[in-house]
Amino acid sequence: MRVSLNELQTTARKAGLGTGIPVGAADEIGHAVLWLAGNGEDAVGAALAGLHDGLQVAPAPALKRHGAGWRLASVAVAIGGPGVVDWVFSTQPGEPVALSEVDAPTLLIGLIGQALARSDAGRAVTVFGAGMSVTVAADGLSASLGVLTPGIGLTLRLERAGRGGLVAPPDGVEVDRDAWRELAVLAARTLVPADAASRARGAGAGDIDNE
Amino acid sequence: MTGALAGTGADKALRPPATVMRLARMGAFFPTRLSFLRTLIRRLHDESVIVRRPVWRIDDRGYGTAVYSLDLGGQTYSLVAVSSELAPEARSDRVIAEAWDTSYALFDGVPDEEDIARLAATVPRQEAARYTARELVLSRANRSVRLFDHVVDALSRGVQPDRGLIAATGYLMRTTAVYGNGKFGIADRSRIAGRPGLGGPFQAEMLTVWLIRGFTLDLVEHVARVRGGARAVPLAPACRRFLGIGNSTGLGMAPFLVNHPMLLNNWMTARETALARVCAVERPRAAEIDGFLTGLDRARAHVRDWIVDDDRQMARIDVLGIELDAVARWLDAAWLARPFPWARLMAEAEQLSLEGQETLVALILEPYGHLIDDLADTMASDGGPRLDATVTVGALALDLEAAFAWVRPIDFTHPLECQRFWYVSEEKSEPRLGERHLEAGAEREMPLDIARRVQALDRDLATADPQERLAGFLMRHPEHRFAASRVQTAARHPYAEIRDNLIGGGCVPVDMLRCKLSFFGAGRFDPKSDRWTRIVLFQGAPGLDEVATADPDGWAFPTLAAYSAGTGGEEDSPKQGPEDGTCGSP
Repeated sequence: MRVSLNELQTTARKAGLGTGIPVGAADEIGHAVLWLAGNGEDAVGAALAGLHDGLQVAPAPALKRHGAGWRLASVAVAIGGPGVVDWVFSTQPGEPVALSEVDAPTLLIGLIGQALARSDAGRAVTVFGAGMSVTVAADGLSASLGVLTPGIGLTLRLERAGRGGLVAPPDGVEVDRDAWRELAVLAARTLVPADAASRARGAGAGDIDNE
Repeated sequence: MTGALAGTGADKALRPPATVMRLARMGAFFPTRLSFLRTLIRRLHDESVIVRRPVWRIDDRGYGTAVYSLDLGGQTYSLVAVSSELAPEARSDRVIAEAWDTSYALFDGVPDEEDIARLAATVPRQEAARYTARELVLSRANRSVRLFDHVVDALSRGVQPDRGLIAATGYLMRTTAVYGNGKFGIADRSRIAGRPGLGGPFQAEMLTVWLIRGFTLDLVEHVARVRGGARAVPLAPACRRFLGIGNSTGLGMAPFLVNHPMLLNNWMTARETALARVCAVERPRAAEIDGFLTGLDRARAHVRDWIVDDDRQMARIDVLGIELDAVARWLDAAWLARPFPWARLMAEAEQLSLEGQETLVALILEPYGHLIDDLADTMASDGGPRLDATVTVGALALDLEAAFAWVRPIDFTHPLECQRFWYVSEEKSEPRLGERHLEAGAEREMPLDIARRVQALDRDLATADPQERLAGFLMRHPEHRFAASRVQTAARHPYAEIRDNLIGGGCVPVDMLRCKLSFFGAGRFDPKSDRWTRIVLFQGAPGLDEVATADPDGWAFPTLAAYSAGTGGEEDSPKQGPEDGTCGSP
């Protein structure tokens, strides 16, 4: 089925909220999904991989110095991904940030891509590990991602310069109907059950308008 | 009000956010010439747009399908209108309604028969159906039953409708939702953002509503002709002008201002910049003085006709009427001919109510299109940059101090300060406002509690090392990312944030609605509660058959006096209109 870009972004964002992640991270996930869709990747699948039950909002363990770069043991991308992206942007170009275990690697790459696109600083990030290597720039990927196995280790490296500008967004995207339904179920967790009182009072209007 | 010289400051300083970004003032805004529908009308006029009506398949009861098409900015757009039978007990303006008198789609291009058939089947279902990227806007409207039936009856008998009824209502139909930007599968805004004429905020939506207005006028005349035959007459031109499109606006519009801080900033900045430019005028021309004084008289007449049921608003209107009459007694051309009259007038206006002040803002902008209309091109936004976490904790703390110091005195432990929560109901996703201490659901509240979140961020920043990178702080406090982003945005864009506690018992949600509606160009603000209002769009605006030739401006603060057709007599009623595919002479 086809969904608009706005539906994709808002549903992913709400799905993040419905899963209990903080709104700041949910906002980033909405942007990440949009960026992935614009680059022909499975955006809904990427979101679902990151938004699983059991996510706990907690302070991330500190990145530790590791040789010429940094290391972090594991990342729950939906919660910690934006912080990892922040950290990579704060490093010197070429300084590696090694992540031992990434639960949703495609979503992480989407977070990187949207952050580059929205930061307008002409940077790029190379992501490599588990036999893959791809450069992420504001307007796209150096190669298609394929299927990235949850739990792989990845290393991120800020590059000095990247391609600028944004690709022209498509007129909506085709999504798998079942996956979309699954995302929508998560998003529906943000809705409050209605009762007669909330119906009568909550919106401030009557039920019949025949004047 | 003394009329004494109040200073001749000619600086171009904008009014500070601490003054402007308060809900009480925002809730007193009036439409200005920078409002979105005003920008649209000027564009339609400048391009000499002609509206065609290639399809009119409305039966004798007034049900069926119609298509209106026009060319704008080198593209063709069409309104597909569907009129359906609706039982009175099903007529509701709420989001939870499931059927409507009329439903619409703005189509990208000219729909063929297959498109028309598809839309005739889906558009009446509104949110329950899915749409394509050829549909740019989705909307629906219900009749003002009392007025619609009265107008049909009058015209069918060969007379014009009652002036009092026309004045009291102001529209034949009111929209209850106007959806754009990808809702239910329609086109994303990105499809049209780069197109001449539709790139500005809500231009596609305004175009849709303007065309809907034309349809409602054609529909009422059609039904009258069927009923009255040769005896029936069309609406008098002045009556057609005075009838706008109503709108029922509820809480759904309120979160928009909070969820789009960059957009809000750009709207406000344009408005305040316009005000500053006009205040910097040292010697206005005679025509500008005349234009202002004429506008003041129109505003006074408009306010006299502005009657609402809401006690709070009616009290404000009463005060406004008194204030404008008082201003009119001492303000004259001689006073305005002295240097920097608009700056002096705004200084004098500080003694007025907020409604009075903001009325004068709208009036003094009106004669200065040549100075300010270009600001309409600055009101769009692509959403703004991502949070910059490479800065230090100390830098963010300075931003917070500059933009959000106002949150510090709020005591969120007091029940009154967190009395409410904004949420979306399972019931057709209707936005609602709940009482936190009385109702369930607060754990799912929408993140509109900006002040509370920033205050919590402030507390944790105070105990962090100022030299620490913000990235590190946010890894330890992922819950503060949203607030940190809001702080950075507000520090660089001073009109991005409403400076009030939106979850407090003192928050009046309808103030948020009125602010946004003023930017749309809505008039006749008529609140039905503290979270629901009726308004009228395009009242007084040129219609479909005259926009190319009529004055695109000069219809602000429409008045009953502009409806001059009277209530009877053939001499008051124009001849029958055309039955062909045009909407009258270009």
